[in-house]
Amino acid sequence: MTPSSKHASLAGKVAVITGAASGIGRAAAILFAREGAAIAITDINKRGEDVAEEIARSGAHAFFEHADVTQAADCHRVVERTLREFGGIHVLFNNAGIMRRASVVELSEEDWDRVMSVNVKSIFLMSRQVIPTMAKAGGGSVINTASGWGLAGGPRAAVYCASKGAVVLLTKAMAIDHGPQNIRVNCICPGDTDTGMLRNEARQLGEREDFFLAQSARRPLGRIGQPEEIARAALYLASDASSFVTGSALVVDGGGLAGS
Amino acid sequence: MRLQNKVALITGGTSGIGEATAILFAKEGANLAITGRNEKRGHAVLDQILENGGKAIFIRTDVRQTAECRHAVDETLNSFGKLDILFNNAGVFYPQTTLECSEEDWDLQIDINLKGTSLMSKFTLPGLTQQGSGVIINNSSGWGIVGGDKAVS
Repeated sequence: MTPSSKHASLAGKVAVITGAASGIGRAAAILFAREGAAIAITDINKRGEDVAEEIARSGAHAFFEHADVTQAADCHRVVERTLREFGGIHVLFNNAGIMRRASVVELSEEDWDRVMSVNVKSIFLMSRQVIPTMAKAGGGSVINTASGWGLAGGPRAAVYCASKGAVVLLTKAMAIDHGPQNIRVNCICPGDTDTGMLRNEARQLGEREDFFLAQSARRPLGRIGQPEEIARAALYLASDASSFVTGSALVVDGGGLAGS
Repeated sequence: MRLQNKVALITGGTSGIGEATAILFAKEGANLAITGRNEKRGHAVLDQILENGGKAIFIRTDVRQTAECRHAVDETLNSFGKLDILFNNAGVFYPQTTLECSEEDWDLQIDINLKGTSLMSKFTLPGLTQQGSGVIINNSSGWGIVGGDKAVS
């Protein structure tokens, strides 16, 4: 499908994606671009530049703006540039996230603050910049990356669970507040997905990566997810295919939570 | 007396649910450590418990501050020799949408409602683990289960 195709599900749309230098965010940027959207890629990791170049080579529109989404000024800069270059924002995918594997006793205060800021506060800071624009344009779609561990607890992941549980309810609270402006707000709850973050977990826990990944695959579908599979769920929530869906937490986890 | 010889620490114990819980726990025989930011209200709760023959202390604590959380747990252990029950009850609520909420209000609510729970638990758990038992109760909300309007943080 060419980016200009009228049949593309995001033709003529503009999407901002945070944490888009790698993993799920990168996969979503590439998929959304293929579906016709112009993409503003932001990440604290400068490899986001490579993702923007890859998309531009395919003939779609994208730029990379380096930003720390825990900083209000950085969020403002990303939104301003997107409006300047693309003229509007229809989709905001708040995907930036980090993981710390620790119990409350093991966790440092710095790690608590960092995880809460990246995983939760960034959604607040980005959304309050974008929502007025969406409201003026008659609507939009905000998608937040939560987690299966935003719905159920997990071992040695106290602040991660706290942050992702917060994302699930922040999503619902925002859906209630901004539904009257035709702004839909949903979140995705991925299970273990083949990303740098998952491999980093094995290191944090001091476990062998192959052993850790094999454990992660223990779920009804018998494997971990691919970033593209989570990106497709985000595409559904970004597009008109989900026009009556708001305040939902879409579980995409190979059945990992099916028994809980 | 269902809490005879137990020691309970209640954050946000100076009013509302925290105050009611402190008085009830004391009536059930527990020794109480009450924390909160408002010294005057804290002492009023303390007086109520002492007048009824209960044992209680007030420790002025802002649960957003690591050092103050550590101090609250240490003071409880100094006064009563152990800690059995931690009730993470301190909480604040500003009715606001994402657009109305300032960054300062966001930080205040997240830090008191969530970070305070984590910090108090961090300093309480080693003691509970050592004595082989204990209870931590966290005050959440119906709006921690379903979303509400004008209540983003």
